[in-house]
Amino acid sequence: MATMPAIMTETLPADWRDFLALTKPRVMTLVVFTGLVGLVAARVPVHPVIGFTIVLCIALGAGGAATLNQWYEADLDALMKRTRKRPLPDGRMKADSALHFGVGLSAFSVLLLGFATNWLAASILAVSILFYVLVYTVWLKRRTPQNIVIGGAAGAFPPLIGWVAATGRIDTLPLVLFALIFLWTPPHFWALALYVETDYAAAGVPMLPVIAGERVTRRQIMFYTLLMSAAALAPFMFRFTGTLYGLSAAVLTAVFVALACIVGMRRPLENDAMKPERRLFFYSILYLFALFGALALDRIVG
Amino acid sequence: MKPSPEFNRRRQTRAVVTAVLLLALVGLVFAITLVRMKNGG
Repeated sequence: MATMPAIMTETLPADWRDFLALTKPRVMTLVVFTGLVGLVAARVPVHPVIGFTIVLCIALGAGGAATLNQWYEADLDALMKRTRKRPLPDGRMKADSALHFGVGLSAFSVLLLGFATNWLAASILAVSILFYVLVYTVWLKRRTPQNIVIGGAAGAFPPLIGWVAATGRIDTLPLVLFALIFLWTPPHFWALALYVETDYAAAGVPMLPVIAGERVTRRQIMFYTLLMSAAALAPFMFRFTGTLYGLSAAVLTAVFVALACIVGMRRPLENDAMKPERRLFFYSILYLFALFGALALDRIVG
Repeated sequence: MKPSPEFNRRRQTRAVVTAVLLLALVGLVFAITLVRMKNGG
């Protein structure tokens, strides 16, 4: 028994699964998909090797940014039920390992994208990573309930990066797609914030429901959903797409508006299961996948 | 202190994964260079 403490204090190298978890793979799927749609929507012939590299760089950049976010927020994550099992707060990895991994992934993704395509796309990728890490994570998240409104821009860059990597220039359609994801982010996150409110409050994160209360949050969800609806229909209105996208956007957005209105007008009692809020959160993810899928199809067949 | 089997397993996995990723990276950079040369830089 005397040797037990020595064995138990041995520091294991972090498991590869922990490195993967740092990159937030589930969030990354949406980032990669919207980036891929930006690439496809550009309607420019791209060599498969270059196309693969563009998507890979967007994924690695998103993974690097997510890793740096978790490195900086390990103290907050340890306070929230939803995040306390992440590799850093759970003590399965050294902070320095995460920092080196995040910086390495970020720098590598930007350099590889610049080498494979053009430096404008690489610069936008670099700006998106820096925006997520410095503006959202370091500056806004702990200071203002508008954190995810402004920070939402970070997640809106991928279609623009895909487009610019393919074409070498910035056009109106990818900017509309940027606006769409930017305006989608507040209802998406605030739906989540409504049902994990106590978690955020415990960690001292000034999310809107914690600071301004549920009623204001519900009104803001409806407000941003309406703005988002205009951005969702804009590609069809401005004739960037055909009726396939127009019809899909109309139906998908109508459901989003209906779910957001249900959440917006609700006055739940204590210990409410928050089912409409959960439904809106999960539908918002499905919505973005379906809408961007419709856009890609429309641009391919149109 | 002798490293535990789990320590060795993780260290080996990390070495293999790093080697495979580096090989894949070299292959990818090579492929990108070929494509760029074919397209005139």
